[in-house]
Amino acid sequence: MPILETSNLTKRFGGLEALKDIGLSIEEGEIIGIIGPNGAGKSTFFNVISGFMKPTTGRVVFDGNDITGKSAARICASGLVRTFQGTKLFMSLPTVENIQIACHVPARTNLLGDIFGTPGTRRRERDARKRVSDVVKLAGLESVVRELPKNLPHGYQRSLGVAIGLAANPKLLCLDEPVTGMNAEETQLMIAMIEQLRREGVTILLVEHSMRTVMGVCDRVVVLNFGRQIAAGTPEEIQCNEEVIQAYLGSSDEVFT
Amino acid sequence: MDKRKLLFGALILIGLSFLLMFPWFSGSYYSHILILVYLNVVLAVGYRLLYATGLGSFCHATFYALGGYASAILGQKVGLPYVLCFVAAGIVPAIFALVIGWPSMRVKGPYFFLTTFAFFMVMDSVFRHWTRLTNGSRGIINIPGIAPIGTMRPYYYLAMALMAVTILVMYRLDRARFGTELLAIGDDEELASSVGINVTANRLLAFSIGAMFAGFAGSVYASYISFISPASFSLLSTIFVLVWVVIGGPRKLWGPIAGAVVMTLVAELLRMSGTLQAILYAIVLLIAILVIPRGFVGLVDDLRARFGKGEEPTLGAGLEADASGM
Amino acid sequence: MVRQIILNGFVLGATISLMAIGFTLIFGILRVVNFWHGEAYMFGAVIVFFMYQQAKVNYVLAVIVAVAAVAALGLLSDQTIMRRFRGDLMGGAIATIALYLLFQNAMWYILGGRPRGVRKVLPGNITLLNTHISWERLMVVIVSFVAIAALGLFINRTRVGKMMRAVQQDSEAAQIQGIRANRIYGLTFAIGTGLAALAGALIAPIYSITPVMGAGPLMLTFIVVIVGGLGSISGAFIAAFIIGFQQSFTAAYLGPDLSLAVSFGLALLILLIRPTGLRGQD
Repeated sequence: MPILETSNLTKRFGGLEALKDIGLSIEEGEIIGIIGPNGAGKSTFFNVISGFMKPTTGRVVFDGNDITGKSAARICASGLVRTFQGTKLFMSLPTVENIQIACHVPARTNLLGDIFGTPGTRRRERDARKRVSDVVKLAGLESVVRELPKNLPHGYQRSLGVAIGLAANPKLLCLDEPVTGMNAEETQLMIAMIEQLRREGVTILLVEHSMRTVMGVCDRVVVLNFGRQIAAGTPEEIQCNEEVIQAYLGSSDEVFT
Repeated sequence: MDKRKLLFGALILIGLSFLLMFPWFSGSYYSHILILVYLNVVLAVGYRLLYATGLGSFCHATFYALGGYASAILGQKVGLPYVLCFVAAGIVPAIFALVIGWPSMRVKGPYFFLTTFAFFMVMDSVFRHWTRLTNGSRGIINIPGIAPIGTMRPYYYLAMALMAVTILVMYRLDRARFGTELLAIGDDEELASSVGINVTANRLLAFSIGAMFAGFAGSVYASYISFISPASFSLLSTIFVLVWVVIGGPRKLWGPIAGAVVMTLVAELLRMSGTLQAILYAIVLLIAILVIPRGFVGLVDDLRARFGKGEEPTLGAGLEADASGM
Repeated sequence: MVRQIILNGFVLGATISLMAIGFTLIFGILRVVNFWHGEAYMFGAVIVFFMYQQAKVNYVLAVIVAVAAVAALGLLSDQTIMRRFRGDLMGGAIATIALYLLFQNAMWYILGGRPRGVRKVLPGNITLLNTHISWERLMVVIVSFVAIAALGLFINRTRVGKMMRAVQQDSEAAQIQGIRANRIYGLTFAIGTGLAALAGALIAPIYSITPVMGAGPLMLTFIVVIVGGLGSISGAFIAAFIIGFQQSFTAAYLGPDLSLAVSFGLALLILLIRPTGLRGQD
């Protein structure tokens, strides 16, 4: 059973059709890339499946459950987690707390338990601590756990952004342009982290401009243009696809960066 | 590290003893000021809870008033024992907070501000005109409490105890996940949702808890003064609470405490200058907001950074120990 | 009787519309809730009092000076103080609150509590539609409309006006295009407070002048701006008359106190049901 399946997903803003009839399915353990020129609808797609926008029509089924139109927090709790472009972090919390806060046990937290420190609370805290330390190691942030995000170098900030998503215990992690704006070294580190994630059993969906990254790391690629899906297949197939090349030539994006 | 903690602890103990003994060796004027300070601290830390999430309400004085009126009416008109009046004083504003908060939190920033402002004005009118219940502008007199009318010492300790309990509860909330969630929401709502934090639920809870403590403070106030009227809870009072929290700095718990203490004392000090009092207060406020925009807390953070100490984590819940052990 | 009420409502609406438009302009472009807007109104009236009533200066000149002086004060406060709070809603609110306290109490100190009056500029009444309206009030309405029309032309037809609208839409994009946002902010604040001062200067011969005269109009301004939609000038204009009529009717039948409560109740209702008001943007 695919872990994520969308059918006839459409999103209209007034007169503008940002997404039209998107239907794709993602199997567990895959790394899928979504590419397309600027304005193709990639961000909108992300927003719709992760609950930040409601689709106009269509369905999103995650892990067997219909999550169409559910709230972002609920969708995250069910295992679909997304990250954001650029650096979107909790600026007033130190690095480790950025990760801790995302370590959310789906069961409701017990407020009174928190005030009085009941055993249930303590147990949850222990489990959370283990997860936090795993994520910190994976993201390579051991040396900066107590720093505030504003003091981190750019590459670390981006890693932290992904770490936050990771901490939320995703079955499917949706990365929004994880390497845009990074130098070669930072990009390599990110790619290594993504591949490590796959080994740990996380399914990954990523949106990227950089074709090279996408081709290098993804099992399959979906191409969007003007809100429509124009191609889907392995990186090799996509690279040779006429329509895809046309779409990119028509825009000012560099194709094979 | 231990020595510092020991010193700090000792200072707290000395300060505490001083405050505990205060009514025995000082005049009633100063004790009165301290009672106001204690109640203001309760108001400020209650307000801060929601404010930390990025929403500033404009009706905190209304919750104070609701608590005061609930307690006064149940005590003076219905004749219930004070304990029940006190508890009711917390419940009533909490319910109002939920009712008014639920629809108004759907909207962004300034709208919440304005909605709570409109709510304040409407309730002010209700207090003035529902004379059957509240005696309108004449107010309610002879409000009973834990001691005969006109006594001060019992209320001094009651106010102090309320403040202590409030601070304790807030401290535990802060160090728990709830507190971190509130700060996270204040930092970035979207990001918070994306990691599964229920923004609206957290805010509603923060709003209600703050309202509840404001209500408790209102009950103590009403019984202490033995008299309340709509004039006791003016627009200016809500403005003051906002001022204390912003001047103190909302990021840490001690900020609003410091803000409430300092600004209440400043206001009292300025009282001696007569008519110039308000002008000077305004000038002090203006200077403060310009010089330390992130409040006392921000000032301390800046000083810390200047002297290279690195940041202390805002909240921990005991998870820091492992973090530093990595 | 009813006609009188309607006429009163109309006059009130015209007066409030000046203040409300000024307020919503400031909010729309600077994202600041200007808590001393009522004091700007009061200053307008007070300056006219000192110049026209005490110093016997020509009324028109007094009004012009009042508006200019308050606008200058607005500009100054923006460039020196509000500048530090761009984008900071709460900090900006406290700053305007501090200024409100400062201006309000400074005026108490200077004027004292005794109400002052300004003699009428245009004596006598005129009969319109079988009801009386004083020339004075008619003048207020006419001047208000002229001023609003002038503002509308300014915003829609001039280059500077276009820049203001650009900044309101998206200040970052506007700055990229070379618009000096800071200057636009200063200008906006000046215009906003200037409009409030104009309202005060115009009603000086009609209402009594006290240091706290700005409180009521400020409350109504809040309500009007909420109902009309924060940031929308046309909304503020329309809502000003809605509230003006509402006030006039409820004041006649329920008394002035409850009248304000009804207005706030209306505002609360709008906020809970349709927060963006009639024509507001987000």
